[in-house]
Amino acid sequence: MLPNLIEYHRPTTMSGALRLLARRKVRTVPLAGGTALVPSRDPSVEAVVDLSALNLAGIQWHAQQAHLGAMTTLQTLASDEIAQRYANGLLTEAARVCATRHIRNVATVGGTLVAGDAACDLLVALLALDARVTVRIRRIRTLALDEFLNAPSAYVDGGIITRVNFPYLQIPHGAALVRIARAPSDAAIVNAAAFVVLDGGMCKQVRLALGGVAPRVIRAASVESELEGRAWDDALAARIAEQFAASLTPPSDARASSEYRREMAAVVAPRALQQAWARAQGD
Amino acid sequence: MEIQLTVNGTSRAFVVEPADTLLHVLRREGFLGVKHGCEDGSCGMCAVILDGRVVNSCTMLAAQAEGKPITTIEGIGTRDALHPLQAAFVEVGAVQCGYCTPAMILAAKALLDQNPHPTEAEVRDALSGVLCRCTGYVKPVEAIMRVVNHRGDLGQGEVRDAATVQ
Repeated sequence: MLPNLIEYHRPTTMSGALRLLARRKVRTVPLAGGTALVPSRDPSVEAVVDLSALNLAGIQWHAQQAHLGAMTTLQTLASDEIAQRYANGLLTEAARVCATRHIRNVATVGGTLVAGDAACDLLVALLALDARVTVRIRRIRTLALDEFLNAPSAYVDGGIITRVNFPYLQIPHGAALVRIARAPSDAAIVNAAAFVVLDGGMCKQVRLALGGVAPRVIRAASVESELEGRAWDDALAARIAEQFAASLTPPSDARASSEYRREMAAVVAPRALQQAWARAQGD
Repeated sequence: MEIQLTVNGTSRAFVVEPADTLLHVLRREGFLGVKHGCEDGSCGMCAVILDGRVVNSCTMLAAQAEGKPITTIEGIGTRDALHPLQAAFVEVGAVQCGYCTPAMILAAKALLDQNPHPTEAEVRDALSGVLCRCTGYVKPVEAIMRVVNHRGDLGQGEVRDAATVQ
């Protein structure tokens, strides 16, 4: 629980919520599902602003873009019928494996971004889909998820994440999530998500994201740029991804050593790319 | 602060601190079938059904549950008239040490209320948030599948007055 929490607010307007969050005398933070914040025992939190009455939940699929309301639960995402089909179900698979059913029923997309777990399956999937984050403080600002994850508090302090969006492409593409965990229901130790867009036999766009190899989930930008615009070559993709993995210095923790994570990154990254490519061709 | 909670069909005001979790309030009010386990969302012993969905009551402020119906294990079945899931757990011998049984029953009930004919994979996913330390999930899954396959639809008035459990 939060030991110094003295205020709970559930505003029904965005302006009311922002007014509460702008206060300087009482340390006030947004409350989404609470599955990370409530057990954090963070002693600095004095007031929470429950975002549940602000109509920030829901998924919309527009012609070119998908919009995930920040308060959409992971279970809503996992059971969304379009998400189950788009990009080989990358997002729904990631949402399903990154938390148990009990947590998915409450935890939200926006909260997942702020929690920023370093091996979060949903975050690597969203990075691979080129997701952007919309944050509202005094004004509305939209930035790349990758940029947001560099310093979440710098972007969201005093404000609210309202939405995550990503391109909803209608051209041939493939995606894959590959993860290593002690058991299928455990948190990932290392994971990788890949998204590949085809143009004939050419690789038009590649996205590769990795988790569990750095203090936060990362994009393998050098791998992406080396592969884009070329004819696909399985062996080349695997070699480049392996080279990238070998250059990492992952953190060690109770789940795995730095060395193990580096070796596994060199396994999951090529595998994710190869699976995404194979699926793209199957379209 | 005062909040209005509806527990097992009975709505009333509760005086809580902003920091109180739903778990603490329910146990303080006598709903001891809601177990106090890890307190960080890992074990799922504190499960309740909130607005039709199984959730951990330990990682949620009591105030977040305001206005949504809450079902605890005390609201399911009676000693004389067990809920079909409870009966199946007894028949199959799925009770094990018993500590996680309320959470298992609630997780299964929330699933079957939404989807009366789940696959075994869906049953296992529904139990993904319940950490059994005894033996595992074979017997609970067997008990739930028995209800799915032999008892048809559930839903015969299993929620009773919360006052009778206090």
